[in-house]
Amino acid sequence: MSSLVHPASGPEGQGPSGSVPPVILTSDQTEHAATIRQFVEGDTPWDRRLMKGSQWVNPILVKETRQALKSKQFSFTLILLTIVVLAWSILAIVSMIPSIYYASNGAPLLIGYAMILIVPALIIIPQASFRSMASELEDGTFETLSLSLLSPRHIILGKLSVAALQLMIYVSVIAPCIALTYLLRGVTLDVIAMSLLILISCSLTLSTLAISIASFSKNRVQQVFFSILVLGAQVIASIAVGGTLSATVAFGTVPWEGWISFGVFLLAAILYCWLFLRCGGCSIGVVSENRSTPIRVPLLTIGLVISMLGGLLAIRNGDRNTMSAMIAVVLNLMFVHWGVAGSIMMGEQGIIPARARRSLPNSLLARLFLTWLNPGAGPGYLFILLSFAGSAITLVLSCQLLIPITNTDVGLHTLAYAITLVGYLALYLGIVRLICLATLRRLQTGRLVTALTICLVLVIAAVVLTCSINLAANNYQRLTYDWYCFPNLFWTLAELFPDNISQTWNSAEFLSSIIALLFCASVVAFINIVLTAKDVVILRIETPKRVEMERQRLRGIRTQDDEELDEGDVLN
Amino acid sequence: MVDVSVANYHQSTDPMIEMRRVHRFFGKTKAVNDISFEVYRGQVFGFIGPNGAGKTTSMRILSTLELPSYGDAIVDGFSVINDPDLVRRRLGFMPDGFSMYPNMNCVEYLDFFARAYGLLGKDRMSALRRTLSFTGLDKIASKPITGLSKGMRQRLCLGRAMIHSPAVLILDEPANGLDPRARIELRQMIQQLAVEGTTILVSSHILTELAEMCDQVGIVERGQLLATGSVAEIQRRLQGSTWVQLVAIRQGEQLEAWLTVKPKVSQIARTENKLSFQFDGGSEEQAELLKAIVNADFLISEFAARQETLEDVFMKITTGAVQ
Repeated sequence: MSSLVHPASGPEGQGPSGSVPPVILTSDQTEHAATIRQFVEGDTPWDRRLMKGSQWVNPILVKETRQALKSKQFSFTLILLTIVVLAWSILAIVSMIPSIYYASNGAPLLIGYAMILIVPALIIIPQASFRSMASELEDGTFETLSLSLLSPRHIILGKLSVAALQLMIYVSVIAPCIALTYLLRGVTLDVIAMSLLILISCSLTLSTLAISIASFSKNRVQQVFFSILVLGAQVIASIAVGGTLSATVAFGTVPWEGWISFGVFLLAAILYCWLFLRCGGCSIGVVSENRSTPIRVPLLTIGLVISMLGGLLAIRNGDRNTMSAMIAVVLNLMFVHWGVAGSIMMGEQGIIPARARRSLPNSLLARLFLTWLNPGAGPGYLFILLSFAGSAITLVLSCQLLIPITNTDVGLHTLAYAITLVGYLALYLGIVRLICLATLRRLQTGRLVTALTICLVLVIAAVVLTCSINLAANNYQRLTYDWYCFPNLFWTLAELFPDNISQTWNSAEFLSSIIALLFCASVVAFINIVLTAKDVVILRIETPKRVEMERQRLRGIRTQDDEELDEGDVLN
Repeated sequence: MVDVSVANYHQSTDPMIEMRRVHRFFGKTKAVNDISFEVYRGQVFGFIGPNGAGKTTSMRILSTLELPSYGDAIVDGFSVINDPDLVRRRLGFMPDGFSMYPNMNCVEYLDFFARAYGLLGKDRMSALRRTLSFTGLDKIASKPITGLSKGMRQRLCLGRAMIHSPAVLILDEPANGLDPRARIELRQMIQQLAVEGTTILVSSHILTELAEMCDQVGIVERGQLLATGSVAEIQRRLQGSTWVQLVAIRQGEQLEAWLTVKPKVSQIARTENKLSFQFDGGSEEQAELLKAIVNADFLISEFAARQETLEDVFMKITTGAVQ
């Protein structure tokens, strides 16, 4: 007996080669085909439903779940967790007898469960995620995976969903015990909810960071280094989460400030996870792809969120005397965000891949204003500078407009602080870019880390140099701020920080220092802008017709050629 | 304004694989140095060269795993630099050294890649059936990968590369480490795929096998393509000579002396009445020579001409130098 099996067809499954002749199966093979059908479709109706649903799930999740169910690590962790939870439950209940019958004893029990859950949630799962991604790169399986239709985003999200599934299983093991703590009284539902939310969000954040960091490691040395880094972060996070959970449970209830703080943490975690996932995706993506724009979008969003949230917080909580100090803190946060991102960005190669050039705007005017998100250190410099300057000055002015500060001097002080920060960003990033342009022309890998290192060295050198000169000028007796100390950003910002309204920030030394800084920053920025002009004159290239048609076909849009082909079929 | 690297519309008669002046440098090492060739639909192209010649790098460039330093490679009309995602849709790659996932069996492994290539429902099932049956893995579908022999792992890897019925298959040393039977079966599989219309680029050290299954071969050394075309074409281009073996009845020494003065005859070697020599001429000229020998009253019991094999051609073209 033989049966016909047709090869894959249809837009999703079709081999681009077109038609492949059907395979004729022998009776022996038909038996095997039945086994394959059983595997693909499932035995029972429940299996069939699951298998049908699973085809819409990320393939990585399906693969890794199958692997996890057969792996010793997962089984061992699950069994160990169950045993420890049971042991803790029995031990705690026995030790609480007889007070357990009349006193509220839920809190200590819940703290114990939370501590037990911290180990798999914050240590085992993120480490497993790190290893999973790192071993793909190390073993060479990633190459075969990358040749499939799975995008880097799919791969990373698949790994993350595996971490989420494992966490769900571990939480479900401990869930009945947590319900028991509620029955024993002493803990409210909001405390339980907050504890679980903190654990789950921290676990997923750590897993995201672990997967993203693992995708940066291209060799064994980097893997070991990053692995230690991730482990360090896990230990610190475990201690911090442990402390927070104990305090929350001991407090007995969650105040509204607690929910707001958690909300802010969650927002920050989501935004930075988004950024890290994008970085990880770009790191393992196709080299010729535009890998800068997808990273710049979350960077800009985070910058804007910090500025808006900070502004709201300053207006909501700050009185007129402390508002300027709060704004300065927010400005510092923004400065660190843009400074770190910018110094890494300065190492980008100023080459716009042909593929990215297909989507460039056509007119010169549009190119002038819409190329900040394009790859390259030049557009990156403008992007960082304009984003930071725009959001910082808008923050200062809008805060002053909403709550006018009676003392105009304080308002000017805050504005001067913001302008100084912009000056530092323009100066240091500009110098880093010029150094990179001069020295890193031939360097293909490690450019971003090199640029970050150059920036750090520059900042440290400026601190050491200015302090040495100042000490020498004062006979090695004391440090007194003078105008030539402007390259030392820490010292200048500390002196200029608007925490005291009676501060004499507009003295001759400060003003000349700011003027010197702005002058140098303007010169460096001007040189950089002139050098960036070449990125604006790059012309758009046309997408080949065949590529355009293929992309339309993949999107399910019928082209004229398809219709002509169909007409041909009908005629034939 | 127009990207000249890709033609506007790809005709079915256009090459499926096209290397256009591809260069790839690793520091000062020129792994691939100006390689250009074309392979048409349904052809099997054999890539031959000593270790470190640039075969694997060229194949990795075609598979979008490496970027060329200069030049471009086109697969089914799409550039590996500008449209690697479209290239990957129509490409199956079987690398030289490959590793597999632990805690999986054959069918789970192939099922994962079928899902990764977006095959759904019945399409996925038929792709799995077809691949398992084609590679002969259907009998051991539920066997763990870790327990597979080298030959079976090679089959599984080939199955993974062809699960989505790609138009182009790139096989890097697929017969490496296989026993003779497995090698023959692999060769038959490759030939079957070519018959079905798949364009195949294959590299191997076993030249006799390549000669049997390839329509065209490319000989590379030190990153440069030294010769390309069918084995016969290359021989012609090299003005390939023929080895003639001749057995005379008596007068072997006289026949040797007689042949020495004949044009197009060189490198004569004699063992008693058995002679062998190189003859730079076609089959008609061979016949003329035989007639002349007979007319010169030499008694001949055997006259056999042997064309140069792919191995001879390879040894003649390459120098064995490494970089």
